[in-house]
This record gives sequence, structure tokens and C-alpha cells, in this order.
Amino acid sequence: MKKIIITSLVSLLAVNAEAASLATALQAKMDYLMARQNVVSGNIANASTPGFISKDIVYKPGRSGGGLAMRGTNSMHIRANGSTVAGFSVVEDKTYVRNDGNSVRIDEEMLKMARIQQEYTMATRLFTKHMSMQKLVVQK
Amino acid sequence: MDLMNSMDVSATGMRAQTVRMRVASENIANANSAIGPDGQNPYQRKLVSFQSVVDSKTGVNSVEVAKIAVDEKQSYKYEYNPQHPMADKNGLIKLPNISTLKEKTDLKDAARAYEANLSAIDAAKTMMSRSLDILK
Repeated sequence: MKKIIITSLVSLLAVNAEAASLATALQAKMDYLMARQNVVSGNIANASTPGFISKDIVYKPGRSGGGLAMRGTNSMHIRANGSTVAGFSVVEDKTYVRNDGNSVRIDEEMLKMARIQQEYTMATRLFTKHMSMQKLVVQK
Repeated sequence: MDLMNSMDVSATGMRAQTVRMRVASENIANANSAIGPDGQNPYQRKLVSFQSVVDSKTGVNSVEVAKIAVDEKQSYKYEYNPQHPMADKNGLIKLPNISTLKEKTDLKDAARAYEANLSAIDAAKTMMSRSLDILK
């Protein structure tokens, strides 16, 4: 039962299935959200800079190899069994480019920011819950 | 901490918008200054240009004021007022090339951008306090 909950939570968070524990998964999620918040802040700061193209970060979950995956000690090494490392990639949003070459839409950025905050709150709450569950186990 | 960078970026945005507001205010204040800083011609409209700077350590885009330049393209305004001591032989006074409406729009836009940066800082702050809540 516990396993089912954790797996469903992990898939809910859309993070790397490779992540062994919930804590690692949540950490990855929080790292991603922080990086995204950074990029969104940059966009808002550059809302009136001519020629600035709005940026965003997408989370690229690593493909889980299944079976026996070779353990890499360096991210630059080629992995056996096709398992890839999860990572962020920066994408540019050129949907609406204004006359001055700027493509930042403040409303869009605000929306992103609200979502980041919500997801971050969810991640931290889950983490707290996870910790309290572990504490419960230790106490018994 | 990572979120500190986000706050720093927003702070650069706020600083840049403040400069823009200051220049717009200068323009409005000098909208009728028939003698500019050079003592000859009327005051000329000033314009701020922003520039995006990539921080090499964190890779985020902050913003800074590239330059404050004088608007050369817009010509001076002429007003017919023959009684005025500054009037030329045709009775015209040369006045600054400032449209108060344009400056007011600029001022509003700068204020909105400032607010947006402020909410970005608020968001980062909330995220930070959420992280600290884990310790509870």
C-alpha cells in the first residue's frame, strides 16, 4: 500500500522514476522550481529591455533503464542500458514578439510564478509529511 | 541560495525601472524649460535604454541601464508668444521636445514593471519561508 502511494505521488510530481526515494524526487522537483523561479524573475526584470526573448525551463525526466543499469560516476560518461539523467533545458518563447523585439508577457510570467509557488508549496508539504511519517516509524 | 539569485535579479529590474521613472520625472519637470543645461537651447528630452546582462556564475538574465541618451529625433516645439522676453523676431519661443502625455505613459509603465518585480520578490520570499517550514 505504501509503495502504491509513493509511486503514485512520484508520478504525480512528474519526476524521474529513477529517483529511489520520495525525498530525492521532491528535492529534484524543488531544484527545478527554484531554477524556474530564477528564469521567470529574469524575464520580469527584462520586461522592457528591447530585443529580450522570454525564457522558460522545462523539466526533462530521465528515462529509467529497467533491468540492470550501469552506474555512472560522472554525468559525462555514456550510460549503458539507455538510462538518461534528468535535467533542465532552457526554451525560448517567441510566440508574441513586440515591435522592440521583446517577447515578455507580464501576465504570462505572473501566472507561471503563481504555479511555481503552488507546486513548491505542495513539494514542501509532501516533504514535511514524509518526514513525519518516518518519525512515526522511528517512534514506534 | 538559489532563490537569493532570483531576488537579486528582481532587484536589478527594480533599480532599472527607478532610473526610468527618474528620467521621466525630469522630463515632465522640464517640460517648459526654455533654457537647457547648455544655456543656449531648450531642455532636450532624455531617454533611458535598458540592456540585458547574463550573469556568468548563475546564468540568469539581469537588467541594467545601458545609457541615458538625449532624444535628437523629435524636434523642438514652437509657441507663439510675442510678449515673452525669450521670443525671437517672429514672436516664437523655442520649447523642449517633450510631450507630457508620453512621459506619463512611460511613468505608468515603469510603475507597473516595478510592481511586477516586487511580486517576483514576494514569490521568492514565500518559497524560501516554505523551505524553512520543513524544519518545523
